[in-house]
Amino acid sequence: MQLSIRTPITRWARASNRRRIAEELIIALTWVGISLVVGAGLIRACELIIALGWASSDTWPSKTAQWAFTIWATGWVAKIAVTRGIWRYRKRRTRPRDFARFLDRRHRTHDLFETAMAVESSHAVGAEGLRSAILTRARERLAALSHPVVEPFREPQRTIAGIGLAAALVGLLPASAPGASVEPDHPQTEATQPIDVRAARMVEHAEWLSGFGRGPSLAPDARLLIGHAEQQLRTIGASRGHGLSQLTKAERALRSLRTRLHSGGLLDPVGLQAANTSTLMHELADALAHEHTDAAQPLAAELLQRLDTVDVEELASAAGLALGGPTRLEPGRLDRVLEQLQNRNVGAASVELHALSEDLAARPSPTSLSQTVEDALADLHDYRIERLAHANRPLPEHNDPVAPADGSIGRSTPSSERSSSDGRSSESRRSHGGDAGVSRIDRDTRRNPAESTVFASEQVPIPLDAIPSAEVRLVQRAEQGQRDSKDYQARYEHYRTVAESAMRSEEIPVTRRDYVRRYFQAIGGQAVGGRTP
Amino acid sequence: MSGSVSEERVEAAQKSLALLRAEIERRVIGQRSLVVESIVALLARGNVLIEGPPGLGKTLLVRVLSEALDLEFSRIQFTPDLMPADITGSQTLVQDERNVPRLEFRRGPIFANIVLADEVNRATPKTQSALLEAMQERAVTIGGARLALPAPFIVAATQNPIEMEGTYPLPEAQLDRFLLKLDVRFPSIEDLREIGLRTTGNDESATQIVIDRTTLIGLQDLTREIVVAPHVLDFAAHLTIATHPDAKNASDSIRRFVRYGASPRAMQALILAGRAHALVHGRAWVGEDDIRSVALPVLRHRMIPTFDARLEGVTNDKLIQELVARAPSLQATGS
Repeated sequence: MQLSIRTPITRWARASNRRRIAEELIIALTWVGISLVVGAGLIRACELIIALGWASSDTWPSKTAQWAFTIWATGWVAKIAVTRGIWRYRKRRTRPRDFARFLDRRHRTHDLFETAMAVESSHAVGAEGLRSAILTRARERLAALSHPVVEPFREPQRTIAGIGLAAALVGLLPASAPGASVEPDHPQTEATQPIDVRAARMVEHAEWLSGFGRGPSLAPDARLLIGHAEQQLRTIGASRGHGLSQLTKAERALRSLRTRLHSGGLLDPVGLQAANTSTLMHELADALAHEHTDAAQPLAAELLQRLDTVDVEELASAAGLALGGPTRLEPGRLDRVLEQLQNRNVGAASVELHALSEDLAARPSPTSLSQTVEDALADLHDYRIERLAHANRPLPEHNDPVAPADGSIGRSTPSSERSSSDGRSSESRRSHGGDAGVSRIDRDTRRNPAESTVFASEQVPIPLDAIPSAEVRLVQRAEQGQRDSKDYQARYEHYRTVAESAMRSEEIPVTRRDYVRRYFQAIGGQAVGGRTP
Repeated sequence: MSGSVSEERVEAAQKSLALLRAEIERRVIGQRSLVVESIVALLARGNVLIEGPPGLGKTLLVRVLSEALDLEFSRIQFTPDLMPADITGSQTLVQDERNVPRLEFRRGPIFANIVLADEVNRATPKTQSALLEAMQERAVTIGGARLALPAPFIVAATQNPIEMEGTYPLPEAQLDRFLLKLDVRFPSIEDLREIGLRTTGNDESATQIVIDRTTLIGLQDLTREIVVAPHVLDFAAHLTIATHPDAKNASDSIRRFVRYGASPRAMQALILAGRAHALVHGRAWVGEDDIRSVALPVLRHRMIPTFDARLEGVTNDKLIQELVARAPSLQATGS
């Protein structure tokens, strides 16, 4: 039996086609690999950008979202690559006749194999004897051939080399800024929880300011400032996606309000005199109910002035209407005023109201609004610190630069962890209740804003019977005024340099930098004009 | 068995043709491609139009070919006053032994195996037609009698492309009857030295007879038995159609520079010349390369150029070379 020409050629053509399928598959997989490597590179670049502080992780898609996008994009790349592979395969597919042509080209047989296939299928014209001769010659040549390879895997080799190079480049990409340590990724829920709490606290402050700002006797500019601060705080609370710039805006608004508060009263004297008695009484009751001390005192004084001129019955009626609920400030005082008014005992009522006004005026400063402003500023600062921490920015190591001169070596702690001097956390200073869910602030805590920030210190326990370390002794001597030693100056310079560096790198809020600088001026030696803090 | 016999025939033919080629190249120096093409025309029983300046060996080539094949050779110098009867022959009044007058046909120079029609474009169209009729029909009709021309019969016409004044260019329809148009190129300096060495002495040897008439007829028959596969036919067909400016896949240059493309006779000529070319190279089958090799002499006189082509000096040769270069895409796109 004669060897068929078509059979081996068809077999080789199929083998070539299988090779091409494998080649296209490798190319498609390589594209998918390239897509994944590029995605990983971009994610890594994102991490680097965040680590360098060029962007906040809040304003950046989360890592899960980044990977989801990468996988989605890779899916599309895979679809396109597979479609392209199918299209390319259909174009490159070798039919037996094409393979015979390929053999003829490679072995310079002048169309021998292609003609032989045509002769075999009786499609060629010519003498019978010559056709047989062609078949014989083609068989002889074919028997001498080994399995020819159509094309080497050139393209996959190139792409695989390309993906390897890309992966190597991605591997070389640093994941963190030089000199900065990146904390491991936290789960999304853990990272966002404190920020949400802070945002809710901003809303609480905004609600309080809103209640305060409703008073009709407020000066117009004070009302505007309160409204602006409230709006900024609500903006923070409405979306945690805002960047640090929003925190700065709110901080500026609160500082403006604080400045206005310190420069004079918030109430408008003209508006106060123009208001009718029942309104004043209603506002007084409302201010006492909401602990608006700084609003209640001028109202009480104004009512006291009017007692001699107004109709007692009308005043008693207004007071009765105003006292709809319990008052948290000076409980029972206003009730007693009402009782005296109802008894038409204007003198006794005047005495009670005078006492109320005096007591409110005698309350230690700051007043309720200023306390709220200070709390809000402190919370804003904490919020900023937490957001920086969330953005994988290393928290400032404040232990050395802000070490108090009282012998304790301090370090900064988030406000949620630290305790105030009376041992109560900032959260515990807030009590919820009263009307309309408006939060109230415990008036027992009066803090200097500078002390309520991250610079509160942590005591380092020193056993009484132990010999204090040189470091501790140095600080203890400084506390006693011995600050001219070289060791102290060196230590002081070191602490101050670190603090300045922290301030330059924006890790210390703008509002707190003056405190830090004043502190270091205070604890400096004679050489730097220091004094006892 | 028949396969091996046929293969031996092809091998024997190749040897004979190689001898013929060597013998002609020994006499005609520096015209190797011209020699091969003239053998191709001989095997294909085709007529050739040889164009070239004087002195390049056109007449010598034809004479040597006839000598090497031991064929009867005649030369007709075409002039404007040449009459058809001067070519075909005429009946003349003669007296026999009894002095009875009778008409006797005297054969003209066309009655030869190889006829050299020198400067064919110098004769009038009427005379040219007489020759071309003989070329096509391989017979002449004189006085109502049809006389067959001897076999093998080949007309080799020459043209001088330089002196065009007082000439009658061959009409396109008549040009189509030439299987090949051979372009005689000026020999190289080495070939010129060889010509000077061999042809100016006393020792110029005579041409050896390498193939006899019977063998030649057998080779011509074998040429037509050479196997042609469908893909070669496709290739030739696509190449022919691609010369037409109104073809679907015609190139821009063809559309611009060709007024009329090659006729179906060109397709026949491509296959026939391809077969002869394959046999010259000892193959029993025609390949696409054979078609490519003969495309230039087969097609160059079958394409009518436009005025733009003449104006811009674009020759048919250039267009054909371009076509052959893009031949694979011709088959891929179809026409």
